[in-house]
Formats: sequence, C-alpha cells, structure tokens
Amino acid sequence: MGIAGWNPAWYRDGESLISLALKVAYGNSTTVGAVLERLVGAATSNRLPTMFPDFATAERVCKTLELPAGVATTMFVAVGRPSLQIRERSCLALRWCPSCLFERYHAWDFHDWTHGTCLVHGDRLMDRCPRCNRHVDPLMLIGWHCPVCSHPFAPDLGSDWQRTLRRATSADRTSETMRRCSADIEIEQALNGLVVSCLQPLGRHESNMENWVYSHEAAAIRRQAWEQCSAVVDCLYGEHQACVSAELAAQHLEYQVTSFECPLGAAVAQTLAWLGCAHERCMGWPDSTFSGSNALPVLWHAVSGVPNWLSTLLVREATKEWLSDAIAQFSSVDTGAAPRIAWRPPKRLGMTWKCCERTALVEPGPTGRKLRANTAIGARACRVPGNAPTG
Amino acid sequence: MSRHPVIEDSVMLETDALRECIEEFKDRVAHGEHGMVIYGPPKQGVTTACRHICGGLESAGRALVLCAQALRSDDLPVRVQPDQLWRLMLPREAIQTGYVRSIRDVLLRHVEVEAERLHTKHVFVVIDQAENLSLRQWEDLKAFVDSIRIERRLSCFCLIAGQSELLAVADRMRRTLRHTLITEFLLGQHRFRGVRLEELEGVLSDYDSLRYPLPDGPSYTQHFCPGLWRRGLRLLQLVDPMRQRFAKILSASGTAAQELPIAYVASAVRRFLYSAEEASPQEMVILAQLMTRCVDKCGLQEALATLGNPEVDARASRRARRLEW
Repeated sequence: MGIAGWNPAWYRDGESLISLALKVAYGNSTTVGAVLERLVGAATSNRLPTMFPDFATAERVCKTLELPAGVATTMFVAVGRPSLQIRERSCLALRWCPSCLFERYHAWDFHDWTHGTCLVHGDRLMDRCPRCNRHVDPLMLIGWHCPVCSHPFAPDLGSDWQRTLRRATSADRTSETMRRCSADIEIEQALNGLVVSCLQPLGRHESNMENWVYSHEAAAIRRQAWEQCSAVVDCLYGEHQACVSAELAAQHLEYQVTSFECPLGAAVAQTLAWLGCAHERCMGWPDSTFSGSNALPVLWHAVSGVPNWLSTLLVREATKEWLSDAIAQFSSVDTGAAPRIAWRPPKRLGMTWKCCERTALVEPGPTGRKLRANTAIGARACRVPGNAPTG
Repeated sequence: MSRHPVIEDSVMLETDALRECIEEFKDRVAHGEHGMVIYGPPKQGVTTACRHICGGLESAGRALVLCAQALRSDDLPVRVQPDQLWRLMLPREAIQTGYVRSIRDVLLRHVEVEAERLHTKHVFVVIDQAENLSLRQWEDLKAFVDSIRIERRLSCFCLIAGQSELLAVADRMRRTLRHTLITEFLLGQHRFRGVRLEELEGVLSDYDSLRYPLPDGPSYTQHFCPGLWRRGLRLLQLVDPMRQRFAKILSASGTAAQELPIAYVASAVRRFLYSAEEASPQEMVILAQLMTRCVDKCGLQEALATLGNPEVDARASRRARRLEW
C-alpha cells in the first residue's frame, strides 16, 4: 500500500528519510512526526528507526514511497542494527546545510558530527535554529520551519510547489562526490581506532577547521553528551533500553536515588540528570533543561583549553567515561537489600590529550572496553521483571 | 452455503437500467457537462451504479476520483460535522494524524498531488446518499469544487447520487434562495429505474451465464444447484411464474409502480437457488411453485406496502409545503 500526498518524482539522489518525510508531510498537510511514525514507527521516545531501520522496515518504506530498494542506502544512515562506532557519529537532532535546505534537500551526511561543513556548498552546517537557538527535533518539524519559533529555514514553496519539489538541485550531490571531497576520512579513521588520532587539516578543510565542531558553550556540550548517551543506549543496552524510562527516581537529582530496578537504566538517567537533561526514552531532548544544580561545569572545565574542533570528541569520550563509572557504581550496590546510592560524576577524567597547534594527540583510555564490560555486569544485575537474568 | 463471487461487490449484473445510466454519464462527461444526478427509490441499485462508475473511472486511471457516502449530519457529533465529508473523501492511505491544517485543505492538497501523479486534469467528485447532506455541506461542497476548478485549474465533474428524497432537496434549496447550488449540483437528473417485467428474462439469463472466475468458472446457477444444472435446469425456464407473481404484487400494491427494484429480484433468485437443490424436485411444476413462493418472500410486498412510492412522496411534500406557504 502506498502513501497519499507523495509523488516519487520529488525524490532526489542521496536524500535522507527526513527530507522525504518533509515532502510527504507537506503533501499531507501534517507533521514530519506523523509521517515518520507511519513509515518507520519512529516516536519522540525512539528516533532510531529514522536512521537505522531493520531490513524489513527499510524495504517497506521503499515500497511505500514507490522507490527502488537501492535508495535505502542513502535514505537511511545504515540498515540493520548499528555498531556503537557508527551510531555515535550520527546525531539525532537536525543538522543541515542552509543552502541545501533552501533547495529542499537534506542528507544524512550532515548528521555526522565529524563533518563541519557542507561538502557541496562549503557552508557551515547548522545544528540550531538561528532565531531561538534551540536544537531542532526532526519529528516536530512542520514544513521547513523551526518547530519552536516557526522561523523559516527555507522560503515558502508558493503555489507552484510541486514544480519546486520536482526540480533537480543545482549541485552535484552524488555520494561519490561527497566522499571524494571529504578530508574527514582522516578523522574517521582515527576515531574508528580510538587509540591515537593525529588530526591533520587537509586541503579546503584547513580554513574550516574551527567550524568542525562546536563552541564550548553549555548547550553544545549538553547536546553532545545527550547524543552520546542515546548512542550507548541504542547500541549496548539491548532489551534494557526500556529500563531507562522506568527509573523515575534517577532522573531527578533533587530526589536522590532511593531505589532502582536496573543499574543500566538508572546510570544513564543519573548521568543525563547531572548534565541537566533527560534521555530520549523519557521524552527528553538536549534543550529540556531541569532546574537545580548539575555537573555541566565539570565537563566544561574538562574540555576547556582545547581547540573547538577537539572539544566534541572529548565531550563524547568524557560522557562515556561518566556513564561507565555510573554503571559500575550502580551495579556494585547490593541488590539483596533496598539499593540506595547517590552517584556523583568523577572529578577527573581518565583520558589524556595533548594539543599542538592544529594537531592533537588523544588517548581516550580503555573507555570503550570498560563501558562494554560494565554494561554486561549491569545487565546481569537488572531486577526488572522480564529483563532480569534467569537461573 | 458458500457464496458465489458474483454476489460479492467485485462482479455485478449489468442490467439495462445500469447500462442506460452509464451511457448517460459518459454522454454528459463527453459533452463537457459539470455534473449529473442519479436518484431512485431504495434497493433500486443507485449505490451499486455509483460504485460501478467509480470503479470504472479508477481502473482507467485517467482521472482522479473522490468518493464519499454522505452520512446524516444529525447522526454525527457536532464537532466532526463540518469535516465529515472531507474525511470520507480522503483516501485510506492518507495520514490521519498530526494534521496542521483543516481537513478540507488537506484534501485539496491531496487532489493537487494525485492529479499531478496521474498526469490528469480531470477530477470526479462522487457523493452517494447525497440526500443526507445539510445545506451547509452543500455550500462547503460548492466552495471545494470552486477551489478545484479556479485555484487548481482542474476540471471537476460532480456525480450526485441518492434516493428519491433528492427531489425534495432542490425544493429546500429554492426556498432558502440557494439557486447557485441547484444549478451547480442538482440539474441533469437521471432517474435510475428498476427492472421492468419484460426485462426479467434478460436478468435470469445473466444469472445462468455469468461465470466466475472467467472464462471457465461455474455460473451463478451452476454454483448453487449443480445437480439441477446437470439435469438441464436453467433459471430462464422459470421466468413466466416469476414474472406473473411480480406483476400480481405490483398491481396489488396500488402504488402504480411498474418496475421492480433489482435487490428484490436478486433476493427471490437467491432464495430459490439456495433451496432448490435441497428440495431436488423432478417436475418443473414444483419448481415453478417454489419460485412463486420465493417471490412472495423476497420482501417486495412489504416494502411497497410500507414505503409506498418515495418519488410521489418527495414531490407531494413539495406541493404540501407550497400549500402551507
């Protein structure tokens, strides 16, 4: 069964599902969230299927939109369950090139945080509404406008809107071009190894080096931490993903943690609570700040003094370290009695780095391995009925 | 008793009345008319004719068809009344959540997209049971059709179908000075007639010959009475007792009705075929008696006694209102 209000002629090579959903939503006068819920079952508590659907869903979406099955490779970041390395590079919050969006085009390449600029236009990728300065939730989009302040990201389509959507874009956006232009391969290889990364600016990226990542402001740090926690939950938590929303006490610092069922859920809820936000499973968003004290300055100080382009990597590594520590702490509580714990983020980070002008030597430490090991221990200590290990 | 696919909506008997209706519809479309009204008393087959026309248009794929079966507005909650008609016209594939504009605008956008997809400039708006529409809904429909024609620059043909009460709707519009609505929607009336007694032969012949699946499937008669079919029984042989009985019922009703609603003919045939095989009579006389009994029980007698003549009622009420005025 197809979908109403959609014309396959509107599709352009390399378009993301968000971009297609925007067009379908316009054709149906509805929100992008309603379209994505129908197409891939995405919701504000689970945005993952928009980027990483399973094979059956990807096939069904292509069929519904009357597009060839091969389109799924660009319509989604990847099909199937992603690894942490792939997942943590993709942001859930919208990132876009203003010039591309002007032409009603959006690609998943923009959501890769290692890309700071559009490889076609050279524009700096935007990740917040220029008017209200909030991160944009793709599911809340109503047309090409900010869902909070209605600031237009692109001009109105006008009466001849179908022709505008059908018109091919001026830029050559074949994936080969995108890949060839990308000097980000350097950083990509370094991050995949997660041992030592030697970042050398190449070619045109030299002038954009400062734009690669974010400034040191709190919102940007919180966003990166939030995205990292979402990635960890999506990739490592398995059936314990549902435990996150169940840990109500751990989501609020002022309550202290008096009891918890799942160390994994409580750990991620506490980590994000100390950063002043809540997890996606608890309907949280990087902008949804809670009142009260938080540990954001700790993270801020940890990454201060490093170049902008390095701060994102450090924030994400630090978040993993915090999360790993929290899981270890929550898992260590004796589950026989009523578990009581009030976790505090560690003041010092295990990773080390050394900057020398435009080159950095980063040694994140065994965070990844430690996180996986702690997650496995935490999963065994889960007491949620149905998720608790048997025998 | 298993159902023969002929009974299902997918296949239907093409009666002379249906053929006449389709011919008139085609003629009006071909000559650039803007609309047509099909009306008839209950069980005459107006809705079926409507579906047949819609199905033909959709399968041809050269025009966009918006169908709706209007509901009585007083049967609906007040808050859904204004949008009800548009909701009914929206396709099943439309996303029914998260609307940010009115349903009417959503439907208009759907019309734009689908017309572009089908590479067509022709839109058919088909409203069945249109006698249920309120005056406000008629006016909304007029605004909607105007939007399609003027703003979207598409040609729009309105097929209005309903029961004989539609005759009274025009009168109601005239009294409230909605003359534009009459000229827009209620001119070009076609009375969907029933089966005449002399046409019964053709109808029964169709039951004997209509096969499903084509071309080698069993016919309708063969499906229900395989034993009698093997012995050479055809419904056509029973046309005389059927016709005589129907004629008697019509004359006894005192309504001056000369036509049979197709639903009662179908009911009589169905009753006969369901029981004939089990009775398994050897003589034609017994079969003729069975057919007579089936005609008696088909419900026509009761319907005529209860309903009278809906068309006469619709016109009579108009006269009565005039007198009252």
